[in-house]
Amino acid sequence: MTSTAAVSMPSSEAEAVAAVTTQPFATVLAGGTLLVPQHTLGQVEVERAVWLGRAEMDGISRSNGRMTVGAAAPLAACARLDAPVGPCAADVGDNEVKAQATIGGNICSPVPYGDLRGPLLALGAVLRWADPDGTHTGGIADFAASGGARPGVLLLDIAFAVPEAGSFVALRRHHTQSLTAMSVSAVRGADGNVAIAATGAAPDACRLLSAEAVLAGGGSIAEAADASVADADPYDDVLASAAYRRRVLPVYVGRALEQLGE
Amino acid sequence: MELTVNSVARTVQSPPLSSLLTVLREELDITSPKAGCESGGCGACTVLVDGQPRRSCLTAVCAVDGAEVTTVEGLGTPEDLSRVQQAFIHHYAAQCGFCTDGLIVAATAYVGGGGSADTGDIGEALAGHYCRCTGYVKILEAVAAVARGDTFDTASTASSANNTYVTIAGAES
Repeated sequence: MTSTAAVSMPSSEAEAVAAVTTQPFATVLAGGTLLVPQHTLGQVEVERAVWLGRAEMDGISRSNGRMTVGAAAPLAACARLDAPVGPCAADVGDNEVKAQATIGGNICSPVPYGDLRGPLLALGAVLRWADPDGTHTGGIADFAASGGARPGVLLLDIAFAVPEAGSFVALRRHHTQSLTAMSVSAVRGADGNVAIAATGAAPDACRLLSAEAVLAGGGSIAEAADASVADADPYDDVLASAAYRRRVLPVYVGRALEQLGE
Repeated sequence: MELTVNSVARTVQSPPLSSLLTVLREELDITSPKAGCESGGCGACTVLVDGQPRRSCLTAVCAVDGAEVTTVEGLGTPEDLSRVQQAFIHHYAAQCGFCTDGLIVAATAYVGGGGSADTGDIGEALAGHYCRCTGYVKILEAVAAVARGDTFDTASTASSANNTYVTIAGAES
């Protein structure tokens, strides 16, 4: 059953911020790929919504070695970016879903969605968001700690330094609607250091700091892969068992590092 | 909200967060987009929005205010089928027909955009459209035939003894 929630259609970021953060707080409608079916099926209550389709928040730009992606940028556009963001975005849904779903919506979606939190964690991405108290910046974890996505909060954009190299590997069946059970993203920064993050290894995306430390200490890919298990907190769900996640994590860490050229 | 649906201007009264699928089927009585999974996973509800294939179950109707929406009813008539519709008949690419309308719409966008006859490319473009009858081979053959520029003799196909689905591909709901 569809409610009669009012929907605002702002034509700029400033209008969108005002519309979302004004009482009664509004729910953000970006691509709609999760919200609309949930709303149709009566799984979510929406009192007021703000649709971002005309707010001009979908730009992707590169300047001084940093990439800035508007929260309403569709995954189809993000899929053209370099690894790890590009191949991760390409791995979400099919072409019709990617044309509609947005990077901001993906970041704000709960597990088992939200695949892009992995690559963005590895990249040390900086999120910019607005709430009734003003505009804030911080990492993926800071955004989550602030309360994350909820009515009254609007993710504005995501920025990260373009890495020297990046890689992304995922455990899933190609070109189906099945969700990604596990993914590993790795980046090598301008300083030569390698950052690694995974989804599906713990209840939310996590950095694999033990594996990174092994590499920083001159260890091999195999040693780093083995060390990654120490950073995992595997869990059971319909996609994979905890035991399976624990077993395959080193495999995917190894593949991501090989792809990175370590 | 104002939509142009199959070249006809329509004023929509449904709430703005209604899915386009709900509006098409329940307010406008256009039933070719099918309510399959209603979560974007099957492709049966695909329509064209300003020429691009979109899952109508994932699309809030407010997001297509002012847009041109095309369903399979707008692609041809039983007397004058589109080339993709002709190909689906000629190649027996429909079985139960539930996925057919979404596939025809998506295939129309694919060949209209200059898509090749390579079945790998076609599979890539139509990924996410599920045929529960598993008739994928015939579907790929039909779309490839359109991309190649084949001509179709649907009259002889329709008169053949085992043809039972002309009305499905011919935009009956």
